[in-house]
Amino acid sequence: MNKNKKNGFKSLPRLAALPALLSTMTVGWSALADSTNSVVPANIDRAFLENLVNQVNQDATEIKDLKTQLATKASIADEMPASSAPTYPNLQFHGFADVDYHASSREGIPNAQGVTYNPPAAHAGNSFYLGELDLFMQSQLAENLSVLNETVISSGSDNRCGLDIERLEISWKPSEYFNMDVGRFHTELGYYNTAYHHGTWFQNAVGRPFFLEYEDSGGLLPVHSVGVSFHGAIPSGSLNLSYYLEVANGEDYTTTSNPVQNEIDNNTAKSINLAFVAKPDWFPGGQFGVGAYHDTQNPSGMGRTDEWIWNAHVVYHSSLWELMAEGFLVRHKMSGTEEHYSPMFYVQAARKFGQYTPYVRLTYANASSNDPIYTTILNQGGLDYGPSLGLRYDFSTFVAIKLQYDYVIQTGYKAANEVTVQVAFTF
Amino acid sequence: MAAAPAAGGESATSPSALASPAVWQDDAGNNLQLAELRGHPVVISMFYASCEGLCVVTRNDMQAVEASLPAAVRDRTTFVLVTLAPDRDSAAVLKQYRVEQGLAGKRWRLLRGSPTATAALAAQLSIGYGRDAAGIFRHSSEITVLDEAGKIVQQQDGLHADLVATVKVLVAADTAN
Repeated sequence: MNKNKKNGFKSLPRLAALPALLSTMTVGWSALADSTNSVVPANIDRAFLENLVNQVNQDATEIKDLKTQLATKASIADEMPASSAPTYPNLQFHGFADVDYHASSREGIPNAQGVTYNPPAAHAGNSFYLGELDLFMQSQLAENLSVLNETVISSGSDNRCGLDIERLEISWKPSEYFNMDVGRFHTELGYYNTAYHHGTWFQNAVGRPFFLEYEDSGGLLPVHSVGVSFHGAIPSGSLNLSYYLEVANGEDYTTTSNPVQNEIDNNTAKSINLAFVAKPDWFPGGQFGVGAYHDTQNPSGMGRTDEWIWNAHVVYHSSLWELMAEGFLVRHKMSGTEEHYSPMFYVQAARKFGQYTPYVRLTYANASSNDPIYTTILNQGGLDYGPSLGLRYDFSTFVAIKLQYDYVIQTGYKAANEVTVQVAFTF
Repeated sequence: MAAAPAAGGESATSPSALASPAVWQDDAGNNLQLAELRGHPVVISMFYASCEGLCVVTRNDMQAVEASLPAAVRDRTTFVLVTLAPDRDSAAVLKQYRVEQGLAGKRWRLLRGSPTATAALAAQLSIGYGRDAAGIFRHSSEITVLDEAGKIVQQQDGLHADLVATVKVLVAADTAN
């Protein structure tokens, strides 16, 4: 119809100028057409007249169609009953959870000092365990205001269940070019961290790449931030570029507290994160992005430490394939000491066969063994890598069963085999 | 056109799903009728912008189908998302959604209509929706493929649908291919 509309309006001036002439011509042409041997005056081009009359008839038809369409095409606002005015707040609730079984052969080996460290409880022996119970709420407060909350109940290595507000953010979206979120949110670090929230049902694998695990589960990156996020589109044609600028408390690495500074920032410096993501028209199903994150920290008992995290990602999703690759380079530099670089990456491929989705992932992290945060505080310095093979089976619409095998090579431990079975569901 | 067998109860001889005279508004604020989508294969589903559940999977599946089509077929296919909550999903909200979810390009149409038109379309597309006893908004999720004449040629549950089958149906429905 757009095409008709365009042509119809384009024809209007011509029609307005010609009615009398056309009337005359039509009558004249009819007379001419009726007379097989009629003589066309020498100064009239018969073909021209024929074309003109045909064009006029076509235009008249189009105008008639347009009038009909316009008559039926009132604004939908006219059709919206008064009772359909939106009511706020409008609360939506979703639940996600998983229950799991995990077995690992991981065990420590003596280090250079002859000390043997036991593996973290979560990676030792075999246990059934409760994953996360993710209570996901979202509420529209006004047309361009909404609030999102993700509260998670999970059990720890002490077998006690704890409750965490993983996300609590109020969003203001005045335009496609400028949006603002305030609260606790997932840091725009690469792809995985924001594409998948705490419910494991959405993702194919049983969990995140280990270095992207949550801060209280052994992760090496600041995946949550408490602060403000600005984001929106950048006019960029078919590149479809978006920006993200986040200012937050950053993290505080100590041996006794949660790194995410929900309440108190231990210094005046704020973390700054800047990221760009492109979803080009010419790369349907794909996106790529780059980002840089900076924070100044005061790890307990140590000096001021500057943290830089550079990252890049490329992902592709089609009806058959899920391909993801992300890389991170972390730089820590404590005042008066040398700088330490820690590269991390993962690549993951999954292919769908009906209800079955086998996948493979290779994860790699080499946290500098002299890094003050990774080694001294988190006790995770050194090399940690290995392949994972898994199978997701969509048992029913809302339930997925996953089986994953991991071969883990980690500094300080014997190479280990691990198996995880997970039932992930949404309700 | 090679009409593929329909799933979900509709047959290839169903009346056009695009025949309704109802007026819809797109995310740019323009009014249109669904009949204007005729002439190309259409992949259509219903959603609402703030949904973080089924709609996420449905949208992801439609984007995966888009990515899997041969370029020529993709360029001739229209992907339509019609809101189930036209009162809250204004044209501006839909525009935001388009940007946030990477639905750029002319292939994607985000529409809102009157409650009557929305209900009628949902019935045609076999999508159930409404509030439960607790007041929580519930809806089903179907992805429907229409041929160039607007007839339903395939319909699948939007959660973990057989997307390969959808791609095949679209290729078959594209008579210009």
